[in-house]
Amino acid sequence: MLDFALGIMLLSSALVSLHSKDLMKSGVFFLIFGFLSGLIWVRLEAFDVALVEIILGSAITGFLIFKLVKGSKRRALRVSAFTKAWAGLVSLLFFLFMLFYLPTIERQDRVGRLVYENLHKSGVESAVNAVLLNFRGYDTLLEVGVITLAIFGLLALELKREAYHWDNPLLQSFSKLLLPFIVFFSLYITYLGTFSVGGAFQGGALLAGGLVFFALAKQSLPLKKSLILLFMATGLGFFSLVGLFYALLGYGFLTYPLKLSTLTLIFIELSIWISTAFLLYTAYKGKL
Amino acid sequence: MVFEVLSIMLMFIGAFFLLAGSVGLLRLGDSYSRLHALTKADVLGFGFIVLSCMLSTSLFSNWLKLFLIWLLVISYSALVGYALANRKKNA
Repeated sequence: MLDFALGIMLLSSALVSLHSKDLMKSGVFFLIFGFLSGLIWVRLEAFDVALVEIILGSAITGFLIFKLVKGSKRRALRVSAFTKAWAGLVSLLFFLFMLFYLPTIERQDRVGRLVYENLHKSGVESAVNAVLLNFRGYDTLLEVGVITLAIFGLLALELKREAYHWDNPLLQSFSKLLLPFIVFFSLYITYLGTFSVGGAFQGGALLAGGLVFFALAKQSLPLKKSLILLFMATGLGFFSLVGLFYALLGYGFLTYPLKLSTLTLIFIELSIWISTAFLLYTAYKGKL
Repeated sequence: MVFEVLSIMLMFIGAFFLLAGSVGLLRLGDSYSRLHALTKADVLGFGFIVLSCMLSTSLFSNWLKLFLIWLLVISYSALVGYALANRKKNA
């Protein structure tokens, strides 16, 4: 019953977001869509994905969408009837395919069982983070590399415009009050990643939200630009250095010795935490 | 048993206030009164729901987390209400 209601709300928010004339309204309904899909992930017992979906998919994307709406001149997207019919047909076919295909899937745990059998070798107790940081370390390293390069590319554009902010004493004092709690809570989420849901990307995105809120109140962090640059590069740098270090010791690239793996993974998580946070913060500000 | 019944009752009271806030948001005339209905009724309803959640768990850590969530949400909703009203006034 609850799942059904959530699904209906998700579909209707997507529909309103696509069909409203006002771009701002579409943006708001897109945020609602992101939040509802986060709730659906919770119902599917994928709390990690839900955390990321709510923080990234609705909070930070929301900021970026509203920034875009403020800058754009056009009222709404005009779509020809032919495109609509075409897209509708494709989605209908996809829907029918899923409708008949999904009930035929049997629950297969081939890969899942492998992960759980080898979990004690990974150094963390959470299956998601074991896969993310140990078994499939290459993927995560390259993901960190992609976001780092993207944000450095953004910095190379040298945007002149200031990011949106609201100069208000109440907002300023509130953001000052809130930031320490957010730093603490994001560290808690990151630390939680070693044995439960949570992890570096989630914690980093949370801290980025706090920093963006800080920047919204027209406050600047008391950090030198070079330090922020260092934080941004920490994730990629530290992760690859650790990989290289163990490779030189003879364990193989991104393969950790069993005794040290918990400690190593915690340090890697911390480095990814700080660099995710500062990368997203810089993406919001557009410059250092 | 007593705690469970009390918890469910508090949940219903909280849901009633949240519903009243939503009805106010939809039905009231101008934006100031809409904001007023939303922020006041929602904070009250949210408080009842947090109380009901507190009664249904016996772990101290969960109480602490719920209390912190309550503190954060009431301060946040007051700030958002202020920001929206301020924006409306200066627009």
